[in-house]
Amino acid sequence: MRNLTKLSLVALALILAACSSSPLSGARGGAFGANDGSVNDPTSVAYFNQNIGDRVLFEVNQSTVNDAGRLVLAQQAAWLNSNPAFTILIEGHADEQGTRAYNLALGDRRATAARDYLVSQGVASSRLSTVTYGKERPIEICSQEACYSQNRRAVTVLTGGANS
Amino acid sequence: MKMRLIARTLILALTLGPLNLTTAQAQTGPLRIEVTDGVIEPLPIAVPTFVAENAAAAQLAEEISRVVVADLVGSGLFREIPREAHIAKITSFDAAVRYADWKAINAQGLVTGAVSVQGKRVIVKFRLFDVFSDKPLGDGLQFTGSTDAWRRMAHKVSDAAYGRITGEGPYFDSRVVFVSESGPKDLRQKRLAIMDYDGANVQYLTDSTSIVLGPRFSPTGDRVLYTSYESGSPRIYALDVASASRRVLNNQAATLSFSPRFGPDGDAVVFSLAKAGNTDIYTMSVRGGAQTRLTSSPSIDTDPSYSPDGSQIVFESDRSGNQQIYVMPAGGGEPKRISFGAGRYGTPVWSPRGDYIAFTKQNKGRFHIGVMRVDGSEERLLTSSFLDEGPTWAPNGRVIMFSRETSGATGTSSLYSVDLTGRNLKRVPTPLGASDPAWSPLQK
Amino acid sequence: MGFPHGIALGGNKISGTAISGLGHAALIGWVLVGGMFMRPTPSRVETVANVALISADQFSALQSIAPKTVIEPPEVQSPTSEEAPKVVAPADTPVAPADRPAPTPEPSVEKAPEKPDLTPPQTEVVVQSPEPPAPPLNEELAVIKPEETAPRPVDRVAPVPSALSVPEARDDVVKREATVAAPSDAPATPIEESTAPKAANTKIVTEAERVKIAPERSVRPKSRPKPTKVVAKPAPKPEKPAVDPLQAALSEALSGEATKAETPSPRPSGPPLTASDKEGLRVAVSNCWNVGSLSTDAQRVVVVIGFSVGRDTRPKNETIRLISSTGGSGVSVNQAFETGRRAIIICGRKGFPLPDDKFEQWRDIEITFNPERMRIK
Repeated sequence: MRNLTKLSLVALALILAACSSSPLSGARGGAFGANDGSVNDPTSVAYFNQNIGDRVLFEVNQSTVNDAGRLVLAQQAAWLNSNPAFTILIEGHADEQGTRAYNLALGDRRATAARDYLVSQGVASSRLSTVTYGKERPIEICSQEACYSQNRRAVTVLTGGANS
Repeated sequence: MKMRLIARTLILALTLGPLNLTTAQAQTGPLRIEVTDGVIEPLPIAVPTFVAENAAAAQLAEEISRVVVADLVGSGLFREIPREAHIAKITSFDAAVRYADWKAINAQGLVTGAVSVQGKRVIVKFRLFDVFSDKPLGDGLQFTGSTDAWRRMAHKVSDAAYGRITGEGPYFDSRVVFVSESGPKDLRQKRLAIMDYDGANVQYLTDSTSIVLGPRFSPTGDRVLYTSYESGSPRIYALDVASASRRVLNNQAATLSFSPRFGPDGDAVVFSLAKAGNTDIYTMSVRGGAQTRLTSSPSIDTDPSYSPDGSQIVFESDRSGNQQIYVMPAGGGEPKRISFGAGRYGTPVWSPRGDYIAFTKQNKGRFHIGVMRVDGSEERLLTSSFLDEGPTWAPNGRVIMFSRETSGATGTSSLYSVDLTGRNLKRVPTPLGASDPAWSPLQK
Repeated sequence: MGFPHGIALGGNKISGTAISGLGHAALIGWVLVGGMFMRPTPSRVETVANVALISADQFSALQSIAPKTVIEPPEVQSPTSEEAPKVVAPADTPVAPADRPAPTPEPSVEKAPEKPDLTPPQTEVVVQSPEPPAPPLNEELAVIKPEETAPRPVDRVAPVPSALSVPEARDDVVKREATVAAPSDAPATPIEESTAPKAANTKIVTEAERVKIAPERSVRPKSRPKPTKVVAKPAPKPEKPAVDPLQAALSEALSGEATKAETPSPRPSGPPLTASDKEGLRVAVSNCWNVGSLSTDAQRVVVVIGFSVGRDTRPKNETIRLISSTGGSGVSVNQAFETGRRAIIICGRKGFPLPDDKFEQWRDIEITFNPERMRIK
């Protein structure tokens, strides 16, 4: 009888685990890896940012996504398609080597370029929105190309999902 | 007989002296020369302390004279003969002026004044004298106002003196709206602020919870258009200066708006609208309602500015491959490019006199503030630095204010002004960092 | 260099010395004077290619054929509907006076307004409409005009319609303007001023005023042409010879008041003025020609100013007059004239470097002041 109880308990646990891993609660983790929202959790934002990469960079005054950018965006798209709970805001940024309004427009172009690519990779456009910060929110402030290049970016920011 | 006379004159000229440089004819008529080079120096002017006509006016009399001096000297066109050097003392506003005393200290202009205070009311009188010609320069004037507005009255005195002596339009009684900045470059706190053109009387119009950019005055100086992130993305707002109340002008979903400016009628608003990654120029009424699209090209079209008569709009577009300046009719239509030099051109602003367009130019890693004629000719650069941008015109179309940011992690932004001739570049004092200035019209 | 045999001219021989001297003087003159023109040119921006101006008619034509832009569907909310609640309440929106103590991160504003600006910007500043600068020889007494409101149409275009506009403030302003309109306690009668000397006195003061005012800058010309002296030396008295009745009559007529008229016949009044003589005068006047305070309009005005000079090489200030001008409006022309006049008077105080024996040639002078090269520095 005790073996049967144990077996039942284990089966119950498994059933419960299976029930809890419905498609709508992706943050709980699947059958593999952690399900705690940490970077080890492949369905977490932390994992996305660190392992997939949340940004693509651009050349001076350019808003076309280059090859490296396409790779990153393709991976983002794949992840996003597997984790449909998230909504996505893409921020476009520019470096300080330009006038204020033009950089707002340039940031918007970059965000839109990244967005369009994600859509082309199957991400539902209803999940996506864009915003520009122009040159208002640089992340590197050394006023040299090494810093400028980091600021010319489109950043994919995730909201929604169970662990966010 | 005439021939003999001429012949004799010739002989005379030729035989006189070995160093005979002119041709053989003798001079006819007055001696004529052309002077094309001179000096450029500030005009020496004396502004003795204004007479306090009653005891209550003593402090204001001193302060008002100081502001008058600061205005005139600050314009770069005048130099003050310091009080210590004055021979004559003005103790009574109506006493005769001893021109010789002022000539003796090399003053060419003299401003005398008197102030009286009754409670909250102050009366300021002044006279202007052309010392050089021993006579008054125009009539004296008298201003009355609240003691709270004493600085404005001082500016009115300076405006009168400046205008009469230089012939230039006045600009001292004006204000500047700008973005006050604090914090590091990667987390700048920004808020709208307004002050007198000389940096006095700073007041804040918003708090710093959202990024604000590019404020611009209405033609009467009572409202300000600007861009704010308070909704989460950049949108244009109209703000009433007196009450600081504001409202958003563009609320369409999936759009961004920025770079707004009033038309000269105080009702039209021209601005940039970004939709689906494309930025074009639109107009709408400040009261709200439908928007009219003026440009439709895949390029970035932004930074629009009306001509003073409202018939044209100058703006910036990268349709040619990089940012250049274009002019189009105010109702839309084929834009005409007017900038052709090397580099990138942006932030064009039409002068209130209609004769120039000021702009920001980037070339070879440097930024410049420049001006050009409205057809693009006579381009002149007035400044050069790591990052100068966003010129705005004083009401007289002669002085330009702009932002200057310094490089590196500790860089900050400040306001600077420069004369149309490129001279008198200097910082405009603000309590903290500052950017995106816009100059008001002359106050009434 | 040398032409040992000289050259013939009209039956008379000019000696080789004369030609040699001519060449030397030209060289000296160029050395003395040519440097003035070697000014480093400001770095020039590329000039713009020809851009044709479109006339108003052409603009309208363009407008009429341009595809009319599509008016966006009214997605934009009317501002009064939702935006009132959206706009933050006055507690958050800093009305100016309340704001100052609130934001702690900001240090207190330097020279914060000692009195909060409770009055709207349109304070009662009553202004007499400004007068244009008085014309040069017009003596005016400074008069304090009685207070008047300048009738300024208040531009109330499109007041902010939202519920948060503050009508009280506006009424307040209107009221203030109304009270000011009534003539108030200020003296209503023009104040006679006894400060300005009468015209005659002015003249006397000006001419009698030979005070040795040391100018703050030297008004000595940059280069003083030396050859002037040399020229004067060997000349026999220029006025005397070759006088016939016609010439004498002309001289008489011309030696009187300063005249504007050109004299058609030559006056044999000494050796002709040399280029270096003229240069000396030009430099002398230039040193005092201060264009720094000219308006941008006046910087485009060219004026020709005429005046007479006394035997002592000092200008007769009362003869300084505008002969002609090009460009600019009345005010700018007056400005340009005044600036030139000042140059003549200031640098003429100690006299001009003009050769004494050529008096007849420089007793009347016309100077063209052309600020074009000074406009952009």
